[in-house]
Amino acid sequence: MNDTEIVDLYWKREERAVEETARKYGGYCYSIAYGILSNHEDSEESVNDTYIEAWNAIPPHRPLLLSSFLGKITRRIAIDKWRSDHAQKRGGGEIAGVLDELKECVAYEDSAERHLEKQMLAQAINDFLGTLSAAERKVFVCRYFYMNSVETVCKKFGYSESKVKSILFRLREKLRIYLQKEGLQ
Amino acid sequence: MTEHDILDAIGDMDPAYLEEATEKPFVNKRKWIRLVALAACLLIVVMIPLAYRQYIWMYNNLDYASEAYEDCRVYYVKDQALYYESVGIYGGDAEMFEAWRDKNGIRVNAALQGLTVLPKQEDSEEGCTVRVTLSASVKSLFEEADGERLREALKRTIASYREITVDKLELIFV
Repeated sequence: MNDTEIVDLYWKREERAVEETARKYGGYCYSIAYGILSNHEDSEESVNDTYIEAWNAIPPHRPLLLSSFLGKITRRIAIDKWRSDHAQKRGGGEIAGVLDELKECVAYEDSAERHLEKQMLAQAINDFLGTLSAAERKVFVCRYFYMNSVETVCKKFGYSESKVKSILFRLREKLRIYLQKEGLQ
Repeated sequence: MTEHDILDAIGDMDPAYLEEATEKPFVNKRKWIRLVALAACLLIVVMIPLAYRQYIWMYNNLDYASEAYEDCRVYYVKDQALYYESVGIYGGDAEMFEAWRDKNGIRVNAALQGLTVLPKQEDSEEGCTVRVTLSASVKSLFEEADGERLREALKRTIASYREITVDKLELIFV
């Protein structure tokens, strides 16, 4: 079943949409989640949360590239899960809950500015990626979006470990300079 | 701005870049092409010396073949006189003897059993003595009227083939 047909199922509110999504993109989403969490149960949970979020988002959304759409959701959910786990480990007890409660107060004050800054940052990163060669961009995306290990990137592109590390180092340096020029750092 | 903000912002990148990164990498194909090209180069590097060696071997064997060829005067008896005919001999003494036998019209099935050039005395100006061992079936031919001429024809044929001066021919029949 192609992506358009799956999206149509979501729009018709047919539950088969989730089954088809799981069949076609379950492995893809799981690999993204596992790359971030390195835990089978948490990864499975993130993937299931992805299906729920996709169900809630379509409609009104009609994604052109379903894989990227799902990938982004999974990545965000997995990162949030990772942050949540680490915050609990650091603080524990009620602190996490208190911080969550206080965050509402602080966020309200500068949420519009922060949201704008985040949007500008996302745009700047997209523009930055447009200045790179295809090979450099792929390495960047695999490492920092899909969170592949350096070893996996080496295998995928047939580069040596030192070459991948060198590319990533140069890209980080380029991004730092680019963001500085854009007034974002 | 923190590293968390950058991490989140990367999550909002253009979906086309995500698709691009999941495509089958072209680099691997190029790597295979490079490996195949390298293997082909190595093969050529290995094959050139082998081919050269083979060429030298063939060249040398052609030399041996041409060295094996001898232009020999095969003497024969006709009308109580001796004649000769130049014949190319490739197969050694046995073929030389067969040429002599056929040229002299000897139908008896006879073969050369052995041919020895006896060592010459030092400072001797005389020619060689050659000892030839033949099948007993031809013994009677050398005892006939033309026997001496046949012996002479054989002696001269051997001398021509071996390129030596033969003074004496000893015949042994077995």
